Amino acid sequence: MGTSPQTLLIVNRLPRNLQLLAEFLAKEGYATLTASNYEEFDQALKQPQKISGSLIDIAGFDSAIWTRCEHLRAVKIPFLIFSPNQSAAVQQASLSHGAKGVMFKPLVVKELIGVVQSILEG
Amino acid sequence: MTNSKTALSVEGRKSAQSQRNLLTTEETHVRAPRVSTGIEGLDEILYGGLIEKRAYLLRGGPGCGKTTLGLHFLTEGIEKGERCVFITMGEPETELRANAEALGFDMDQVHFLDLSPNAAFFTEMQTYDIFSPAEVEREPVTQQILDQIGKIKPQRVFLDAMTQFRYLASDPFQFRKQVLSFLRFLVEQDSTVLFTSEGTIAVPDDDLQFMSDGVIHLHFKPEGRTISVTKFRGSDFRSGDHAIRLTDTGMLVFPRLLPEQHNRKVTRETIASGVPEMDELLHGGLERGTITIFTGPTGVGKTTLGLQFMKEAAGRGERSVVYTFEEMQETLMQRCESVNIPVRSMVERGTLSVVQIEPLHFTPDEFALMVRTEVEKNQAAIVMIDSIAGYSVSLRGDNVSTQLHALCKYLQNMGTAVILVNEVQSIAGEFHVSDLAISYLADNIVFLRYLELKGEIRKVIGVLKKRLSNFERTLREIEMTRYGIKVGRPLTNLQGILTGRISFIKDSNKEE
Repeated sequence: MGTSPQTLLIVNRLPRNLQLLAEFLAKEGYATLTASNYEEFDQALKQPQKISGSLIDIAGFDSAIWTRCEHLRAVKIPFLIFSPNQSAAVQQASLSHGAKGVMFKPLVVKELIGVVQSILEG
Repeated sequence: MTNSKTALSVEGRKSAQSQRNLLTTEETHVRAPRVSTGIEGLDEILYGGLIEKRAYLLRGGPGCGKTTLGLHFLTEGIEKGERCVFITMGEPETELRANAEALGFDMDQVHFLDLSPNAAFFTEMQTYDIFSPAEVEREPVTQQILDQIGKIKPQRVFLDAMTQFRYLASDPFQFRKQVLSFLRFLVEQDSTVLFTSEGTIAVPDDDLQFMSDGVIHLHFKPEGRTISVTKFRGSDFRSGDHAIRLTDTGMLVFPRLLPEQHNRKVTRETIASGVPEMDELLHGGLERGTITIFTGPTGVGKTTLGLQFMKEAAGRGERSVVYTFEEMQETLMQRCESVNIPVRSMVERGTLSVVQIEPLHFTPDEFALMVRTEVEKNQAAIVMIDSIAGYSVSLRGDNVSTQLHALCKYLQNMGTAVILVNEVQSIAGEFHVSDLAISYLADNIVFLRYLELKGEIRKVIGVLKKRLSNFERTLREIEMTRYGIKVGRPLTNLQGILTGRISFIKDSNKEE
């Protein structure tokens, strides 16, 4: 009996980003849920037991994103923040709202897979 | 013993060397199998075309003609029954096909691999920033190329532009490695590859120049478009800038003339003018393969004299060509007809061509090719350039005089008699051969000048220099009449004609 794949919630404004992330993660054996706005994000958070981890690209979202991050922390879902530019303020805000790490775009696939594995292993 | 052996081997080497030296330059460069670029002039620069199964870089800015050259390369392959692929990373296939069709290229048999971004890429759906293009695009692009090349196994590949791959590599090292392995892959499929780059100061393409087997540059300068080759592994090539012209049927290349590469066996026989007194002056006439300058002030009869030689040549069935840079073709023809030189019937019979050269329309390379065609295809025996000043002023580009020199040397090597018409500014006074420093070019110098005698303007002719034979040292009167050119007896009773201070010599005969 095979184990079911771990599911990652990926949050991104751009559909192509979501598609690419989903494709790369699928190659590594992960299932994905996607959200491109707060409505979809909130919908996904209603079933936290299905989500093993989350990858959130903050580009295009306002400060309300941090409320969702706090929620993820509360339900013990580990998550990573992706930022379009290297910023100490973003890094600080991300970590203070419970992020396990911050990565800056463009991402390197191999590095991303390594970091995802490590946050899921806990 | 050792000494004689050494001597023999040295002798052997010398002999081999001299044998190699006997081969013409072109013969030494056709050994490796070549593929034609589809452009005659470019093949000439490359001594027969590109060496097959190698990769060549074609570089130049926008509008220089890179794609046009690529179209020639591919359609030449199609004409020879080869499989050809056009890999486009910029312009879409539909546009390329339409542009090619407009230029008259038949691209039906050419396979296209269109890797250009489509319109949807610019919509939100296609835009991404999460990964670099190197991470996202490289693999599918590579796979498409591998699939297509593997399926078609083309003999010719044109890739426009390789520089796009730079954005699919994470760093310069990766780019170099990817391009090298990609080119190796294509060449291993027995393809001859021509790929373009758009090198700029901001993003130079020196690395691509190192990686390729040859580099062809296209330039767009204020004085005109040119092409040059700076690298060609395994072969020599004709260096320097060569003129190109983009026409509504594609690209024309005009290789710079190198006189030493052209030769024809010629007998040094003379070409008579048909005017006995004139031929007496020249001790028979002008020799084939010599350069003659007819010099004198305006209206003195230089062009007419040149055409007199052509009239006589036409009588023997030989062809001559006049390139007129200043005078209208029709004026020249009317003028000749009025002095009994039947230029119209000569033109009709194909023994004469009068070509009017429009100012600033041609480069010296283009003009040289025009002359070469006349000499090599139409066997022109006499070529007249009317005038040297017109040539210098009318042709575009640098070093025009140097190129006239090269053209004359070429004509000399081909055994063609060259007549250069040179106009001097002064009507009377001190004698000058030429206002331009061109006398060194001439094997023969024939001068005409005005003379004022008893209130009447007369004309005289004389020979100043003749390299291959003796000549008459006296001056003679010359007249252009409706019956033809008349040359009088030697003017032995006048002196000071060349200084402009004429006086009669006492006890002379009755000649005036």
